[in-house]
Amino acid sequence: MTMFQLLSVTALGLLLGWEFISLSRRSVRRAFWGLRCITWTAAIVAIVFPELVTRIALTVGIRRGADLVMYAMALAFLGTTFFFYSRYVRLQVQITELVRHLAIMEAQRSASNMAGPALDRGESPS
Amino acid sequence: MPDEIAALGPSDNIWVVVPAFNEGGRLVRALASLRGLEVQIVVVDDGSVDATAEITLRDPEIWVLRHVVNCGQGAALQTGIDFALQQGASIVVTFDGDGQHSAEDIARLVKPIQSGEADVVLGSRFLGSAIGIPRSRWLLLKLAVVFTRLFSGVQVTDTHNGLRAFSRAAASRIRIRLNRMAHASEILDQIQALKIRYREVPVTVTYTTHTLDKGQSSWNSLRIASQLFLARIIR
Repeated sequence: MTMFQLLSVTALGLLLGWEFISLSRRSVRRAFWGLRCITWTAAIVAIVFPELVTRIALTVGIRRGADLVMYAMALAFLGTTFFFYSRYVRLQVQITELVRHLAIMEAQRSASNMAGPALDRGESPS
Repeated sequence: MPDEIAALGPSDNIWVVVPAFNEGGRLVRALASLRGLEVQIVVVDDGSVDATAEITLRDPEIWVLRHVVNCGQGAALQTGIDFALQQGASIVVTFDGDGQHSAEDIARLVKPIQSGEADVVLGSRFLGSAIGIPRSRWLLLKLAVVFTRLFSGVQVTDTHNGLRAFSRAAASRIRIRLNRMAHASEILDQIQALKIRYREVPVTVTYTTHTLDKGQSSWNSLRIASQLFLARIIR
């Protein structure tokens, strides 16, 4: 085993171990936990048995194992980007709701109302 | 004052929602045109960094709602609509704060709702007139109409026209979730999905150097299309 393999497998092994510890400690979303575990395990297998990656690559019509890893990374990047974008959109919706709530709570109707929100005082338009 | 404007009365409980972001002088002109109409006005200051809110607060008849951060025109409209509904509005009109719209069109806009012919009335500059419209903008809007007819299935002659009127029932059912400019297409999508009765009426949109300074860039249309596409995937 080369120095690179040793170091990366150790780091990935620690990550995998941490996943199992965290599973017992806090509530985690099972699907994401499983996905992370699969990723770390696949990385360990690919580093320890590089010829296996080449064999899989040839099976799916890609000549080199390195290319397969690169394509997988590109797809993972797209998936991750989409995941975080959808989270960003949901967060934006929540922030908007909060901003809207504040705006309505603090509705004002003239310079004389600057001291406080109109709706809090039960004022309504004529 | 034209007869149509005189037809608006306080009993109609019409609320005009004006979204505004850094509008300054343009907003002053837009609000001045609304003065004298028997309507309630609510300006939603969408996190402006200029004196938009302060200018508006000088008028004691106008309600001002302030977004503490800029959320976008769609978000500002929904805030104003929510507020108007809370206050018992029976008709909600949306009116751009940049002075492009004509206050005289409001009476024509609310008429089909008052008579029970429609629940949403959309202003169309292509049925009415678009004064001073740049050729590139005209072409872009025509392309947007084709895009909308294809993807939303709503047979309109104008899209992205901020002058619209909603009955109370329609305003309660339509929920704008796209904060930025794509909200106009989203409203049409919802009209179609919720099977809301709609009508188009001719309106006048006036382009001036002031309004074009603030206006949307043509590239924004690509952003709007991508927002609509992503919004259909992310629910």
